Amino acid sequence: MTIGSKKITVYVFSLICAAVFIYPLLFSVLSSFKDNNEIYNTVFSLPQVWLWNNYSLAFSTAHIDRAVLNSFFYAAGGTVLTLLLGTMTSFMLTRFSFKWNNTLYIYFIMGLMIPVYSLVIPISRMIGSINGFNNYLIMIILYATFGLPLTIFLITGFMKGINKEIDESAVMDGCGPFTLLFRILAPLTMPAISTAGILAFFDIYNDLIWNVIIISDRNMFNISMALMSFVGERGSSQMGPTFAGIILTIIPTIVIYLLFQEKVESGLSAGAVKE
Amino acid sequence: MVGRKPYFTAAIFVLPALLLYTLAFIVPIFQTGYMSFFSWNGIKNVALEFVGFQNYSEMFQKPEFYHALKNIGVFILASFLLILPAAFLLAHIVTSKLKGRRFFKIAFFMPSVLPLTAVGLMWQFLLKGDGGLVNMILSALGGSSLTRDWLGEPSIAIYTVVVVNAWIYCGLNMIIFASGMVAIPEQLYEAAAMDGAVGLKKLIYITVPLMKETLKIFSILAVTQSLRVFGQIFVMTGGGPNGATDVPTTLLYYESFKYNNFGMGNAIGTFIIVAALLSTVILNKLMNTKTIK
Repeated sequence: MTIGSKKITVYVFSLICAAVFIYPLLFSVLSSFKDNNEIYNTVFSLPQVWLWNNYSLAFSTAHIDRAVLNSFFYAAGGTVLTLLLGTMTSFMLTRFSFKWNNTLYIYFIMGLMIPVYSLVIPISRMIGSINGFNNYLIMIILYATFGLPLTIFLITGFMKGINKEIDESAVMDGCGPFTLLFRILAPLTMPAISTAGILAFFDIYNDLIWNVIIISDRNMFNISMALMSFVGERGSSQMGPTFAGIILTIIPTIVIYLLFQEKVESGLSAGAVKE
Repeated sequence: MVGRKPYFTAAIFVLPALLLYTLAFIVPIFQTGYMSFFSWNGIKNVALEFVGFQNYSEMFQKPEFYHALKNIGVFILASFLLILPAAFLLAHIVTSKLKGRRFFKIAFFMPSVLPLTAVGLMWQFLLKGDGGLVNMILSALGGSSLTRDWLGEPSIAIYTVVVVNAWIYCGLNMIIFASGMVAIPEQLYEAAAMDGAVGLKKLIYITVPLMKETLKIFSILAVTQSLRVFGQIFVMTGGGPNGATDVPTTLLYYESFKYNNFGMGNAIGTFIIVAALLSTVILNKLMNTKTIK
């Protein structure tokens, strides 16, 4: 085999792999413009008439626009809160020398080992006891809490490595702990904070279980719930609008990924490795 | 700052996180354990009734429970037989000097960033018995006899889900392998090439041994992540047909929120917690001792 033909084999193989991952998505995009008849019968062709109406149906009956906004709202709120609390905790864990610091660190990290699905019953019971169902603030607090172990793990690990001489000279210049953390250390910790932020954001945006358990008000559904209930009601009777809904919910994640490619790749895999 | 031990300042920094985490994460862990000895129908004002180990004895007598364990096993096996080789191969492609590798990397990684629910629903439609894309492609390629209701037949549904799961997470594992691969110094390959190691030999004698750490991480992940499978099943099959694709997490959900058998749900929850803790600790121990050897 010559170098040339070997290269072509590798290319062809890579292209086939790429098609395996991308074609189902392209197919869904095309199907989102078709009616049932076309989806079943002219599977591989472009839509004869581009049914933009499928998208307006996804908006008007499944309220996908509202769901995407809700998911963004949960994700933004939860991410900001978990980063704030996590950074403060990491600051305490790495900058104060108490003898129980390490115990406290392990206490926080322990959460990484527990699958949160095992906690749905006590948590839904607790939220019931404070009448907290269908409440944005409670959802955000809950999401932030579940993000804490990984956030603290990632940020503490990074902050430990920042030279303490920096804080000493800052304190010498009259810097209080809050200024020291938010003005000096946090900017230096940005690589870890952004990794933790991306992870938290994707986790919350894509959440399924907590929305299922805690939210029953349609106006507060996130993307998962909105899609599930739309499919539950219409299902295969109207596949076009369903595909339109699916496409609408995945577009934001694709855009974020394409904007911050390397960061998202390393961030998500760092999260996986640490769990 | 260091050494002065200002308790008050430290408390301000750590207390908000500590309180929330303890209240909404740690306490529920113990509540799951505690409530697994009670029977409860989920209604707020109905008191819990102490039943001892009854939930557990019922759980261990349930065929569905063993089915769910078997399905976890299928997920773990598939991680090694399907995701491992595929992700390794893809990682090889994106770390090579191939033109357009950036495009390939994005294409392979794309499914990992998409919302699980959207992807699950998409595959549910693509895998339909009549009119699904997969069957259409099979027919078009002349394999009409292979077409079937992929998610509807109890004997194959779990394998279908596992393949979709591999489709989703291949890219993520590719990145993990790729970061291990680029850490191998180029000179090693050059030296090996001089000694006559090419192609597969290079892979067996250099790449794999030097990626031991990455492979260890992958093995731990394969087990711990399989215990967390939920959305894939919940969205695509709902545990069906006839419980054939249930895993412990979905079993917990359906037992409690569908059949109002919260005691049993908590018994399953406790089982998941114990299994997760044990497997993480044991696997980490196992992997470390191997390093020392």
